[in-house]
Amino acid sequence: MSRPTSSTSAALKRGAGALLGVLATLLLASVVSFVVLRAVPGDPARLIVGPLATPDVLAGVRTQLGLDDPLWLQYLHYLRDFATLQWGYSYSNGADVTAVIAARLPATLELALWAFLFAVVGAVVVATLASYRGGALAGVAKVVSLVGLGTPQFWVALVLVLVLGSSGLGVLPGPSGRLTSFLEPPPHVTGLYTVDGLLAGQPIVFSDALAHLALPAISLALIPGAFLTRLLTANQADVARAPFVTVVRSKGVSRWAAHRRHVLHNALLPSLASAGLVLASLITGSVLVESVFNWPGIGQVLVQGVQRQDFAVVQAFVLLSAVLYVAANTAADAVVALVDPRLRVSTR
Amino acid sequence: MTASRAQAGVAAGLLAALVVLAVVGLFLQDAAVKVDVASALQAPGAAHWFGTDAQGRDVFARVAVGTSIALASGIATVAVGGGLGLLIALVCGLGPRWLDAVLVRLLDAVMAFPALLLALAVTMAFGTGLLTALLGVVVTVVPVFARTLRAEARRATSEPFVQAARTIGLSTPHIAVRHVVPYLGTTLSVQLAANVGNVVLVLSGLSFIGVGAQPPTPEWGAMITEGLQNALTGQWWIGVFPGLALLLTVVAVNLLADSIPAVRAARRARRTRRSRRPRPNPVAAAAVKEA
Amino acid sequence: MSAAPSPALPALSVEGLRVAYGDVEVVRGVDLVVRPGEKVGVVGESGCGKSTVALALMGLLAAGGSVTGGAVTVSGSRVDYHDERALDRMRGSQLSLVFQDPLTSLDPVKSIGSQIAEALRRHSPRMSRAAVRARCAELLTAVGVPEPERRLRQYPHEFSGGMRQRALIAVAVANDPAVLIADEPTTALDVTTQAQVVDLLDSLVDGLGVAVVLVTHDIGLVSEFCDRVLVMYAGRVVEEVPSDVLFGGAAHPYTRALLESLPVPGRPRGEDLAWIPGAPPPLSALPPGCSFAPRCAWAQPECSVGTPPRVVVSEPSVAALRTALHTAECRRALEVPRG
Repeated sequence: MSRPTSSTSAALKRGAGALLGVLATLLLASVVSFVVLRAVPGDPARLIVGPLATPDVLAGVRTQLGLDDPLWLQYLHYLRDFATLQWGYSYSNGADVTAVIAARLPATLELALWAFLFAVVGAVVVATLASYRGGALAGVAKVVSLVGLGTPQFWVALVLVLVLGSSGLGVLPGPSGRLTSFLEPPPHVTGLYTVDGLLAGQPIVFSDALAHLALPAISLALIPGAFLTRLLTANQADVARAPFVTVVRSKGVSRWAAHRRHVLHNALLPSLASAGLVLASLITGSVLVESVFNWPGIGQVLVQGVQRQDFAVVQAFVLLSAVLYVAANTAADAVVALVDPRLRVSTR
Repeated sequence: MTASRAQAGVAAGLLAALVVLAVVGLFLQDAAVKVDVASALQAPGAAHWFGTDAQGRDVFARVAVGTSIALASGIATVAVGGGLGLLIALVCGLGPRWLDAVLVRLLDAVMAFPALLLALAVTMAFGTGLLTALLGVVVTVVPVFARTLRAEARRATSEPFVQAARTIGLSTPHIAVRHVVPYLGTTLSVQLAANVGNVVLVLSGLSFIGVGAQPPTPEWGAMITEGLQNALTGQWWIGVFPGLALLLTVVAVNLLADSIPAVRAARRARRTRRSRRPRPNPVAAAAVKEA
Repeated sequence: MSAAPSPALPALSVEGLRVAYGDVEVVRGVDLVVRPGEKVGVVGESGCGKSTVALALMGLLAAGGSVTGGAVTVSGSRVDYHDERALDRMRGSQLSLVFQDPLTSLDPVKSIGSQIAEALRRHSPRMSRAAVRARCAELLTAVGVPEPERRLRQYPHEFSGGMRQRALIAVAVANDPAVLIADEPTTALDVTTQAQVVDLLDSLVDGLGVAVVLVTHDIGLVSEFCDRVLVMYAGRVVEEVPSDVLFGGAAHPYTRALLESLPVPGRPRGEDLAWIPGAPPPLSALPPGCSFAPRCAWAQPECSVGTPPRVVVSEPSVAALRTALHTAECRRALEVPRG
């Protein structure tokens, strides 16, 4: 069989090309990030040692940071340090940036995962109902998604706290972190309190963690949810007009079954391509929302780093977000290539 | 068609109201920063429509001034960023292929950074403040324009009218300005409107974090940060009103952007219908004359 | 599976079908009777309402369209176009559709096998997996797709246009329907493939005894394939004619004009093809009287007044039972010279 092999090698070639493109984008992104870092008008060494240090101390720190090396060497060191997860030390308190981010990551991860879940489920339900029922419902969905796309997440967070949180109806816990203070965090397995709580058989921890999650996760889910709603509504409207839907109906399949099995399926595939955008919106959102809820995640690390003029933290965070964005897009492309029969490599 | 016209009408109405608020803000600049500890933390009422903040400043005056700041900075950054983006798009579309390839890679690399974080890094690098925040936002706007317009510009170069212009020996800058830019019209106007919304959001986000406009500047994001401190003690109005103004601005601009393609298409259809009736088709007329 | 209809009962009977999109009536009283095993063609220019008739019979009009009048009977039972569940039961089992464009008529992300199986499972939910698979393979073989087992696992993009149309025909005949409606089934295919698909339809009709309604703008195709031809103009059937007398025997000026505009191989070069002046009238603003009168070479002043009468051109002879009545909706049907 010569055809499958040739198509396999073609797919491999295509995959390798895509990978090279991704690497090039990442390298360029690191250059951009490095240029911005070097654009700092002040001397990073001066920022670290403070205004009162003697020139000797300053020179010592400069050498230590490699600031006297030629720029290209500095860039290579920067690249090496980023790739080997040595993201430097906080300018303000000397803490290991990598360790700080690693310690705070699970909190943000848990928040982002729940927000993602809310956004996807909400968007699929609203978009499907809107495109299936049409009429007024479609108009409402359109307005809601347009408004949702325009909401400042940190303000929504504030309003939610005022209305539902401790200073409002008190239905949900206000800005008080991940758990009620008298509860012990569950034994560490994944670092996600809801998951660990279930694993340890502590339903109270699970429900308390979920209650604490609800408001920040909703604030965070709003923009990606609105974005996905618009995308899925438009995609489903396009697919619903395709002749094959009439053919499916002509088999005797009911309108709802045809919509669910064929229209929704075809509409979901292309929306995978926006995985990177959704991730970017979750990262940005966590920066804006965590501080409102006093959520101990990496978003707050960044905000505190900004307030302390801590370039090491900000640089690591910013480049990391770009890497994650590119990785998400690449992963989504790979998933589409696996799931979409038109792109799938024939193995038969 | 009518739905999108109604939508454009709602958007225009909202924007008109916001412009009025911004103009009012120009006359309230003193009131917006006037500290009056005696009347601090008053709830909304006849004396202070939106109440007062912790230092007794009038929240309505601050929101109004914030509106003029937001509209001015939104329009300015989008104009500068959009102009630079258009320039890059034209270079990509009409220039040599290798340059296009290099520029696209670079744009993709810049776009890999979430807009808020890139703007944040640039702002921090050049020192905190509203002006550097504007610079940071411009950096994020340029690739968005360049990337979307480039695709259209590339398509334009394969259209017969551009190839015809090439064939009769028109210069590349002339083709770019007279033939390609009009072709980009709809995309450009949608991007202009949509990006004003994004820019206003990112700017307020920067101020919220603390790298944009600094207190006591009455910028919406900075005001929400201040309002956060009072929210837990019940003074909701300090943070809610600026956020509401921000939300309405972004929604109005997004509604406008969303309705532009349909409205433009309808207008074009009407224009061709009107022009077709009185004037005979020149090509057909020529054919008749020859026959 | 439906019981074989008795030969006396028509497989499909349509009386006075009317369809409107909003305020505009696009089908204005269409009558049609198809007996089991009979092949009836519906022809006309684009926009004459022929595709709308096909979709209306299936109950699958696009949003905004609705059946506003008439009675449709399939295998003796009346179709209620307001009962969606009954319609779902009828579609695919008694009345099937083969659609215009095979390239867009299959779901691109589902395998060919699953799309045929969907039609089987819908009407025989208790069929076992193995039985469904065997029947799908049998159907693909029947429509002339080689290596059915392998082909069933493939996706539409791996099929050529002709192969896709064959797969769609397999879907349509999966449940032995009484009537197969084929809406421009060959238009999107190249000429050699067209002939193959027509042959396939022909052999299926002979084998299954299914009645076929072939909707097309190709008057040459209907005259070859069909027993009877209905010519539509502006939402009405203007002539119903046995296809063996179509060439030479057509009575309606519109039908004659259509036939004269056909290119005939062997006609001397340089001789202009005949063409019909003007364009079909917009259905929202029909002229009074005969809709074709403004374009008709035979029109007289009275043609623009009142509905034209239906004129019987010739009665069927007893010897040719399958030959139906030849009628035309034209005041001057018997005056137009034929032959």
